[in-house]
Amino acid sequence: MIEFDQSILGKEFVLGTFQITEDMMLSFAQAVGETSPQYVDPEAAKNTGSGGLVAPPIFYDVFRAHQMPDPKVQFGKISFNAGQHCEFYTPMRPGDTITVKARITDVYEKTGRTGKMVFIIRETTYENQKGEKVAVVEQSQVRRESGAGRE
Amino acid sequence: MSENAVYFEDVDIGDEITPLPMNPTHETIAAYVKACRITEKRFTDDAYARSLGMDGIIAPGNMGLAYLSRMINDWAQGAILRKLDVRFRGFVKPGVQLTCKGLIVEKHVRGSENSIECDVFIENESGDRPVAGSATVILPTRG
Repeated sequence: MIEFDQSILGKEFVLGTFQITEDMMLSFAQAVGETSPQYVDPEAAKNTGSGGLVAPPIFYDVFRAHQMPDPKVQFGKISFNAGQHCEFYTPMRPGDTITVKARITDVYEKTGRTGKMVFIIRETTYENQKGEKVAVVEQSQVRRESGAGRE
Repeated sequence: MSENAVYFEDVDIGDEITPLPMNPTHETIAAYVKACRITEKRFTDDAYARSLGMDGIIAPGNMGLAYLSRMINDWAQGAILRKLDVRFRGFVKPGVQLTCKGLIVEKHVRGSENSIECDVFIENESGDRPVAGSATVILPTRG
């Protein structure tokens, strides 16, 4: 049995509300080498299907620095992102205010070739100031004893 | 619609998405980490990463997703990425030549919203795929 804080399961936490600036969007787009006008050129973006500058879908990653709910799993020295399921809805635009909510939906253990692993499933919802869903990301985090022998 | 527009009617199951090279370096990883205001040192500090039992820094997993998303958009301007589902099976490390690739595996007609299902992955020169999964993409329809 894995020891962790059971009381946290399914509970929704508001991680914060953040305003997006054009600069944040452009520096993200630049960091991944985007060249598409809707992501990098505020003027030219007006004539694209998006009708103005929008953030690339994975821009939600800029909100990761904020504290996630922690089930305090008593196992593993190291943790990795094992996988991610993302759904994208309304695009993010400059000046949007995004509310980030997260909950732990599951914690379970598995034994693989490299030993025991504990998976923590987190669902994060991003919503804009109009209450429109922007993205929902389900992340699967794995905790294990060592970083070696990943493959 | 720009010259890169790809319409639903023009694609078939089995078609490839134009591949996108991803050659991460310490600098490009640092730029991503900075843009995302990430504070974890295993993405920026080789010595710290080694203290965790790794060979050196790795790229954040989401950086791979951002490249897969860019691949789809570069291939088909006007395409809308609806879902992206990936597993991280290995690390994306600086100095390793990688290519983002995709393959259309299903086509779905849903009223005015026509979509394709794609296998998407990031592959190294030996054919290993540190990032692999699927994407649902809405394509514009002609007429």
